[in-house]
Amino acid sequence: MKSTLEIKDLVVSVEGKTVLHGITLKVNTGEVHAIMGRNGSGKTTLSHTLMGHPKYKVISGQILLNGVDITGLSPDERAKKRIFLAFQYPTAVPGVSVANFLRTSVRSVRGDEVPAKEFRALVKKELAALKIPENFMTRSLNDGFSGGEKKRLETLQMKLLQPIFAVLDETDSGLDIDALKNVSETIESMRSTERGILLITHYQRMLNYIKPDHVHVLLGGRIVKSGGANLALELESRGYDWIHEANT
Amino acid sequence: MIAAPSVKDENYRFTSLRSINWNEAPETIPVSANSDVLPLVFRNDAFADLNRGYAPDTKRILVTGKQSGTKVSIGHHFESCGAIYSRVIVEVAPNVNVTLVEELLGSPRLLNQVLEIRLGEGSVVEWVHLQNLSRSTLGFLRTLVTLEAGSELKGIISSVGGSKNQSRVEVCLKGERAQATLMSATRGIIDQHFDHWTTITHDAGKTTSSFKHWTVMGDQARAIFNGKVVIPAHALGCDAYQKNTNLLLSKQAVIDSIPKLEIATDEVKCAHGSSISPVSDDHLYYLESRGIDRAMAEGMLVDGFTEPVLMQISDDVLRSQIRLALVGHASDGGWE
Repeated sequence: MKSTLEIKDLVVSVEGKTVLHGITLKVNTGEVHAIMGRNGSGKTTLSHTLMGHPKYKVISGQILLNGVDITGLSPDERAKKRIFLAFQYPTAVPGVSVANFLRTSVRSVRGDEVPAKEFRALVKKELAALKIPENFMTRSLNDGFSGGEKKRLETLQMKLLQPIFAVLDETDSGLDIDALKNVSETIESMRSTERGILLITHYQRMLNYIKPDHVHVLLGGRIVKSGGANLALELESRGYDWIHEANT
Repeated sequence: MIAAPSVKDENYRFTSLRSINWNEAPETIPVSANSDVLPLVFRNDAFADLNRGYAPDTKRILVTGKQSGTKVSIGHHFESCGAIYSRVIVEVAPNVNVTLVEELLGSPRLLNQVLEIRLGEGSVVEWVHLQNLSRSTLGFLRTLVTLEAGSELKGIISSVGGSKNQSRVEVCLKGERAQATLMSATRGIIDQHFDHWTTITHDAGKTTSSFKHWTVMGDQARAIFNGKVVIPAHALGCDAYQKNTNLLLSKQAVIDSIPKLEIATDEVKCAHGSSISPVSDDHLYYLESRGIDRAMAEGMLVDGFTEPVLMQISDDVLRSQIRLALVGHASDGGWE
């Protein structure tokens, strides 16, 4: 069944400052949308607003999931509706082991207990695919992890939680060439008619592996240009100045 | 008659003895007490003085090469009773490696204990202390650890029981290159009171100490961290670190953190720090973004707060047992 995540004229402020000035975007399952933009254009604000971060206040507009307004839902309620955000800077949580976190998360999103044996088998398979050593499971969540390790763990979570809509906030940052390929291929493998992906990035490089259906340019908290995959290539060669000049 | 320490005394500033029977006599008072074994450092300490007067014979445990690599229990499970005065000396012979497990359980009205651990040259001791007394017990504990040259102490101290507690720990690094690493976790609820009074003295050069103390206080509970590092002028080339990290779970809970340094030489490396905060909003959001509801996320974060201490316990069974006492479940919910 086709699902939609629709953002309607979204105005968002952070600590009293308006950052998003009316974003409108519709993502259907089966589609990959890339959002590109300079630093400070509002990309991360958009991703955290979609996930329901309490610091980001929706002044006006709506977020609709299959036509139902989810703007007021808490982050965990959104996650249970299978919306997933891969963080640009995953939070380190000392004392909570990766295994405990993953198991609790999978159980919460699925809504039922996952037998220990099944969980271990599932996780081991995905660990191997992402080339993550098994001893990660007993380490504290993201604590002391390198940038690349954190991004691999975010990707592992996406695999385990099987979201219907995934927002990937600069998942390519902090990855070396091999890790970028491995993570990108994992994400590409999750592309399906039953999943929509919103991929936020500065660069074209991840889009070499995950070809977007739509590319949008975010500038000053507004989507100022949309196009196909070629738009990303054009941005890579020309930069953002020409878009900036056309919109000032 | 021993006078009660006043709250005007810096070390009792937060632990008033008014309205509690802090000097209750034991049911059977020994005819003669073993006054010669009271560690010098505890002279003029009202509780140690009482201990000297009321404790029955000192229990002495000598750990020799025969017990090297083993686990030695120095704990007590007290029945429901009146005041208990206990004094224990553990002597670890040179070059012996041992785990000392000290469990304080049960429900005496008052427990006054003096424990002395003496590490011989080159010995390696893991001291695991669990204070899980009844929540009606008054607990006054005095511990002295002395380290001879080249010895190593790994101390893991966990405190969850008792009503009003004052635990004084004195660590004296007497010989060159002695090392003390202490990690401590305290969790208080209802109106429990934990006063941790710790002094680490580097009495020889090139000695190393690290003390990390985690506290979680909920309800109307109160905790005090009164931690001092002393480095006299003759102790050159020492390295000392002290950190107190606190989690406040309610507006009525109170934590006072007083890390202190007393350093008489420049040729040392010393650092200390302290923080008191509620559960982190960023941590909560990250867990919630993965479908974990707020109450469960808070529980995971609070339980996980003291996990760094537990992870230092080398024995799996002992770690599970202390986790059970601290957070109410034996497993970290993870992979094992």
